[in-house]
Amino acid sequence: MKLINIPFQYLSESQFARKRGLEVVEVIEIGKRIALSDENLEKYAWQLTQVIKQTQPTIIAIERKETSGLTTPWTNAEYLKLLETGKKVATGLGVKLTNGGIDGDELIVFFANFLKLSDREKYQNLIAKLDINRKLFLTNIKYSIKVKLIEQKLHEFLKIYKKVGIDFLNVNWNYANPEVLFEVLNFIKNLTGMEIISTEFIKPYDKDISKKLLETVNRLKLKCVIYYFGIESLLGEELVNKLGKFTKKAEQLKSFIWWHYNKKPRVSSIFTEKAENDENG
Amino acid sequence: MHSSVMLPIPVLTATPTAATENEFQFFPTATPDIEPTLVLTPTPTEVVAVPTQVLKPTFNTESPGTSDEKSSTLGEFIVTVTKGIGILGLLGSFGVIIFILNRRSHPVGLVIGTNGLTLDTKIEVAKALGIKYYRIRDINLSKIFKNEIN
Repeated sequence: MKLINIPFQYLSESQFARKRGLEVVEVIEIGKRIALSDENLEKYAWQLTQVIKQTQPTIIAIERKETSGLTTPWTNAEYLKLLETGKKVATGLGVKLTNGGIDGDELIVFFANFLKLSDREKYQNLIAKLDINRKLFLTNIKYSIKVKLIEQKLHEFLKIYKKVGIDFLNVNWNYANPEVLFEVLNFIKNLTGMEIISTEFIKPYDKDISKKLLETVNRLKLKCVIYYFGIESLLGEELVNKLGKFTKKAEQLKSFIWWHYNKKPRVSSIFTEKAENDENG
Repeated sequence: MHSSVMLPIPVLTATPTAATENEFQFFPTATPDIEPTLVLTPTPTEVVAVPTQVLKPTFNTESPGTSDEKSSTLGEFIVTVTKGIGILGLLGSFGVIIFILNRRSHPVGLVIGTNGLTLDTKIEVAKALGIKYYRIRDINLSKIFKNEIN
């Protein structure tokens, strides 16, 4: 098979990040559903090899469409083949393999079901911590079939991960409750014996909750977390006004850093101090 | 960290099962007789979707790849900061904006990847914050290797 150069945008992003000392994580999307014949699996392995050799990631996740267990286009047998092939390639090239990312809400369902069967008090406590939508989904009879499907699908996925021996269990988390985060991921970690990472972790805007979530991530000793955040509120204002004072936008930046990284940035301006002193006489 | 050696699966079931490495059970198989006692009031009048549908963030969670084309907001802001530092540095006598972030490394690798930030900005912010991992845009094999697999 002829060598195909990976498009520049992938290479440049990876190269730029690595040059700055960052380790690259890649989520692989296979795209269209393919028949997994031996020949196609061989081509798939070759494609993965080309991607890894050229972009040089530390971790690859296979595959993106797994994120909702109920909508993945692959059968369990097919996904097993894709992961096994990915594992073989990744191991050969010294790269860690993880799954595409289990949806955090589905993990909550999974954990709740476990508690429902084993510890009524803990189950009720968990339900009490959930928001109204999640409570309804777990307790209303009209969702019981979907709940069961989620539990079954995740059960099968976890078995596949264990069978393949992926390096990390990847979770996509999107629920701003530190206690639930800890309980669910701690449960999954103990249940599977796998290290957990997150290639997609949505952080809320609330400063206190964001801080607690970060503390919980530390407590869980997650190996890698990719935080996603929105910045639409930071709209086109200047950084410093004519008097040298920081504008609202600069203040937003400070809040932004604090919210998302639990780090208090030091943002100061001699220019600003001079202006303030002038104003104060 | 996993090697090629399969680890035994912990069985955390209420009813222990004779699970093997590849055929384990996480849950008891018996039908539960515990029903939730939660009483919800008031009853919502709207249909409640499954969590994956109703719990999406209010902002765009598209992959970093798509978002890279959208250079704006904070990205422009930080670029402005950088440019501002350079310009003010040249002006010298007017003072310099000091923009220093706490550079302590996070014990866990953090990755920055979001909408609205340019590639340069994302990486600069990641470095400034002591982030270890970086997620590049998602890699779509069928787009890169057109017609390779039928």
